[in-house]
Amino acid sequence: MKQAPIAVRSRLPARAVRMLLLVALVAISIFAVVSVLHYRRAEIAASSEDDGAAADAPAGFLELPLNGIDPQVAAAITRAEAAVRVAPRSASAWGTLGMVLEVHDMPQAARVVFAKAELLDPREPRWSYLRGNLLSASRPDLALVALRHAADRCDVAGDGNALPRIRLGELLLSRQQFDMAQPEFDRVLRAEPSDTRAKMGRARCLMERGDVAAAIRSANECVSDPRTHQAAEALLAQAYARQGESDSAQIAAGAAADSARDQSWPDPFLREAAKLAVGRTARETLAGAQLDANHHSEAIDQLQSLIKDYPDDAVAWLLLGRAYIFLSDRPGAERALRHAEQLDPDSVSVQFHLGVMYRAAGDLPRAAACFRKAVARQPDYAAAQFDLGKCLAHLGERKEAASALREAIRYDPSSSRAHSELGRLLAEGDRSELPEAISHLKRAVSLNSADVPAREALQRLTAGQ
Amino acid sequence: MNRELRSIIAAVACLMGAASGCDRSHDSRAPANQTAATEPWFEDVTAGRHLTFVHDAGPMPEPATAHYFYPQIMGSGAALFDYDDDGRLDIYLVQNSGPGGRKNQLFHQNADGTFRDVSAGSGLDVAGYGMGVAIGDVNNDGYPDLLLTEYGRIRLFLNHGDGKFTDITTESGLDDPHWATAAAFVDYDRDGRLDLVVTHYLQYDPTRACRDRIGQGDYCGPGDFPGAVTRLFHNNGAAGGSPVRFEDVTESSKLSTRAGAGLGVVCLDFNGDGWPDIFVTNDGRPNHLWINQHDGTFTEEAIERGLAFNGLGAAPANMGIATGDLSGNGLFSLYVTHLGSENNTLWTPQPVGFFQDRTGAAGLDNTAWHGTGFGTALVDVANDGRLALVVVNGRVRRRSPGEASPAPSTSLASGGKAEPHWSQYAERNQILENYGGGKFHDISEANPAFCGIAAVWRGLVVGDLFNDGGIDLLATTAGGEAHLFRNALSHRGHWVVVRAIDPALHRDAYGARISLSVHGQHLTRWINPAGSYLSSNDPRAHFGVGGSDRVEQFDVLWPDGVGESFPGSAADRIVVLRRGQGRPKPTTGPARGPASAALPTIFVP
Repeated sequence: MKQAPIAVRSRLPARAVRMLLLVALVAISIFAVVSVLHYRRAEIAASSEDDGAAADAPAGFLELPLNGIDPQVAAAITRAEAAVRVAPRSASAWGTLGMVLEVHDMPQAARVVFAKAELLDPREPRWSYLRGNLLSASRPDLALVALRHAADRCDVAGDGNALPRIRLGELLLSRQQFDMAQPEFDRVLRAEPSDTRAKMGRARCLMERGDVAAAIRSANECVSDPRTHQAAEALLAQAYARQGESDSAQIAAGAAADSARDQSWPDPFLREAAKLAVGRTARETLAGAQLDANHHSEAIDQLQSLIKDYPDDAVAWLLLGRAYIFLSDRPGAERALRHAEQLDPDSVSVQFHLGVMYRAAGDLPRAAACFRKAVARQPDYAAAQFDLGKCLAHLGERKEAASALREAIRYDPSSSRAHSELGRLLAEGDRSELPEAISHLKRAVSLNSADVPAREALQRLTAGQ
Repeated sequence: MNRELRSIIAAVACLMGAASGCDRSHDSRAPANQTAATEPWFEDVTAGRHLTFVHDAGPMPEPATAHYFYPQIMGSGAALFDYDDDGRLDIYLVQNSGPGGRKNQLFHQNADGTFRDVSAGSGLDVAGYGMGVAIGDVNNDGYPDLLLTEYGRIRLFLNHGDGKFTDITTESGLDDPHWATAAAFVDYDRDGRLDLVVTHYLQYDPTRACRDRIGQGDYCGPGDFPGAVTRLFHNNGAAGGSPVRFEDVTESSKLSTRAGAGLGVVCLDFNGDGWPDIFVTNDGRPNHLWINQHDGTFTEEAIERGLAFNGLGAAPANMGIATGDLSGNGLFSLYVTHLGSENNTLWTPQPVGFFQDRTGAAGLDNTAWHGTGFGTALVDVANDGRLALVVVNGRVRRRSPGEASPAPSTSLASGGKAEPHWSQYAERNQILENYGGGKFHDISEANPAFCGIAAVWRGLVVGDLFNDGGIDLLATTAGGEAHLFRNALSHRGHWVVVRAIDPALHRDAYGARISLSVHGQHLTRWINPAGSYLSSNDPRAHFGVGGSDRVEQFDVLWPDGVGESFPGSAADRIVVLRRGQGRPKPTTGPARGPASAALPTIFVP
């Protein structure tokens, strides 16, 4: 009995068996490839059905209602649609249309269009990646397929673009599929050991899988990167807390809470799409970002061009005024802000920035007048209350200054600078105000231990007592 | 040959694996062990019960100027409370059309389950930019009082028990000129008096215009304005002729040290030390968890306890909050609602005092569709001991061109007529059934009454409105009607509704934890009406006990950490547990545990 299988095998020539299996393998391979293609098509179609349109619909099927929207945006969409009509088999034309739709906040339409581009050119990772990103919240199951496809295509292309694989890992992580997520990050790190984003993903996987010590090591490698600083500190705080290291946990949590939001990661696919953003809002946003990045001259060019197209855009005039303030161009700033004021006479922000401009120019009475207008319209604007208080203090109007600073604290008790300013102002007054001064200075120091003037004033007052 | 065969089989297996291509392990749309939800869970009884309320959000924005008044899109909440102590829950609904606009409405529940508008002359018929409502007996006289939050102020109304309320805001010392949103009453220092927590949203500039990416005017977002701190008011008791006097302890309690953009608040014991903590959801910013230090101060520990960010380290649009024990271990999970472009987050306790994002593992990231969630609750609708999730949705940004409308026929706003402005923000609600093992699946399609109407849903309150053991829902909309949904399941399990009262304080014991065992399954609920979004739920604890027609014993952990056991009772009734009438039950944990220890233990009464 035990030898029977051997006897059967021995009766069949080995070559015949190999041939049989080879045929079977080929047949199954064909089945597998067809299945993959069918599945991908089905997935794409499924996601398209969600959007109320079929993936293989003809060009022009979108029929987006473009009336009432920014003419520049409408023109960009119309142009992209026309390109699709001219070349309905062009994945690039469909993909470009998808990107135009995505950057103008039309995600559902963009998903359908990306699906079409993906079908026309499955080798191109961009469309799968962009579609996967758009699906990641609403249909993570479909997003996983799209991102995996994009990651695999990037591997085949050998261009070193690890972004789709990292996003794939992050999506798996967000679904708590840690065992599947970590290999994706590990794979990226094998190719690029210094990839901080992958390291951060790996740290999260390790933490979730209970390897807290390894998670701490991995997160520590991400602390110095401004794109992962807050995230790494937050993860470290959790890890230390789980290990019972309360002091370390508090320090890390404090660092995470006090740090600015992590910088965003460069995304070449989204950057390419962002270039297609047009219209008033997109250009205002771009100018605002340029101002925040201290690229004032670029912002001014952008805003002047914007104002040429939209002369009644009060926001553009306000931003232009802000840019001139940064460049200490008072005439330019005043001209722009007064124009904004004409267009939007009630604007709190315009009055606030007029105040900032006059204060910077040393014209404190006019600055105070503008700040007064701002807080009259929005009493809970703590920053304006603070600036009003500071101006009045410099003008010697102590009582009114203290009142404005108290209002600043009333609306934002977390403001260390308001506590500091008020504490120091009261410290210069009569003795009856000293207890309140000390209280505010203590608050200022507890909120911001680096506030040297508050600390020194507090030391003087407490020593004097 | 064997090796060759194995290699070929492995290759084939690999190819077959490749063919399967994707992972479906988390596809919650069609779970294998899903019970077919063919019977709708709720029916809309708004008209039949004579509940007539149309939310007025003020004048419609003028698209040309792009000045959209932000408080308008945030909607308003509601409260369920028995203001006249007749044993039936009454309803309070909030307007936000401004001081000269429509007035808030109080509805009294009649013996036949219908409602009568008793607003006129009640003292609660006030107008303003109303946001939320919190209920709590601030003077311990046995009648629940009402705190109203508004854009620009809060107002406290003292309940006289006879259908009349008096505005005692000024004499009570409450001064809060911010954009107040959610509020909760909690006795954080265990002195027997209910203190008050009020969250604030933003330092909003009403003159600011915002536009969407296609240039159309729209409501601004939280990132456009500085945040604000959550305020804590300590109840000092009667003073100076006022029945109650509050003191603003925001700074001394240290809640002032971190600003957020608060929209939701829940006060529960998060770290298991027996003292109530304060959890605040912040829109687009990290959440805050203020851990009670037992000395009148709090430390913010959301980051280290895992609740500040979601599992990917992001701070999404945190809004409404649902809490409940999902695993039968006496610990509560939290579900927080976000934007439609994000995933609402489920945090589960692992271990005690720490939380982990388990949204995907619970199947909650792959629901049939996504909306922008506001009010939410974890409730046992079928009375089978399992908490289901109910979520009300409504956009905050206009639907983009080409985006499919959520329902073929939009039934909205005044008199059932579709209001074009609000229809651009309308979405449907969702019900996610808990089918055990920590998994949920979306049964919205089978629930047309609650989930089939597209509107700008905001507030959601839950409770056993008709004292029949079934959990009912009341949902509010921005610019539309409030809807009352009665539990319509015909084959619900047995139930017990528990009211926990401290006779010395003459009021419900907010913060008490009630536990019972049924067939080896432990059920735990909390006396904790605040939660959801801008709303106050039924202050009683509801238990579905399935096939058990009797509860053997009730265990109560009172807010001051004292345990007490009460004899059981037959099921299908409302049980009132009065402190001192049971048997003392020692707790297994310290009466005053460490406030911020890394691994605190929870009491097990």
